[in-house]
Amino acid sequence: MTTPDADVLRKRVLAGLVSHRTAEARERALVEAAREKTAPLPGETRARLRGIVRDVGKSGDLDLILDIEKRLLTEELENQVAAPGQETALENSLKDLGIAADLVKKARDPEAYQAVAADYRRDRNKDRYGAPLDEARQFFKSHVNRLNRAEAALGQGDASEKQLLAVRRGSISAAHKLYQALQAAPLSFRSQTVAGRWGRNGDRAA
Amino acid sequence: MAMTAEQKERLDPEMRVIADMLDAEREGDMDTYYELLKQVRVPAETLLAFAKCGDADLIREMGLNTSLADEKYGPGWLDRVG
Repeated sequence: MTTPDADVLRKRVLAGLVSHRTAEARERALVEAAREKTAPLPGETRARLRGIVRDVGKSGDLDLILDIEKRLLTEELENQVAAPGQETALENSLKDLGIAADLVKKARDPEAYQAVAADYRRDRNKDRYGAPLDEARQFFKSHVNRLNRAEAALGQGDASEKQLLAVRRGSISAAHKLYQALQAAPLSFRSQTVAGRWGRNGDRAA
Repeated sequence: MAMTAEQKERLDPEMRVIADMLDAEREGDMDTYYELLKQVRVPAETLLAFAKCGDADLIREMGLNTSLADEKYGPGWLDRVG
């Protein structure tokens, strides 16, 4: 499932985050030591990281997008970047992301995903195409909201920090669409077999 | 925006490496970029997070400097996590 491009992007996210965190840490140390603030380096490293994350979002690679978001969340947690009291929210996001990743695997296996879909019987738990609003769909939606709130919480703060969050939000929205397309495949497979069984070839399977 | 030589001169050594990395990246010279990255003492927490996500091999392959994490988590931490 891993493409060469995905490997390059994985490497670049790691390198981009490393240089950004290092620049941030050095800048903090220099400011604390009351030395002259020499250059807007952390702003620049964050902008580069943002560019790489944007490429991840545009890659069309659902696994890559989820893998990278997992790393960004885990790193925030380890680095204690989150505001006090936000650790639990971060941990929950990570847990939900793991569940979503498992559902992605299932959605690639028509039989496995039909079993998942069979548990969603009420219309209100399905979208207008009949695809279940499963825990992956819930994750994509709620995580976009979480990133939105995090962005709002920065208020008039650092614009480049907000832009990075906006790019991550875009990337998760892209993943949401990719997942919806993935859901459609096993479900149309089901409607084909149903149509076949009842001798109704044609429109539903199309 | 690239930094002037004078601006770079005033940076502390580690910041200068990062500024050089940014220049190499801007020029599309990714070999130099990754070579320079090896000189950066990577924040321990960032390394730990990626190792926890299954990137221990990637960290080794990229030849990242693990000295800060080695200090914080003890030698052999990467083998334990990965």
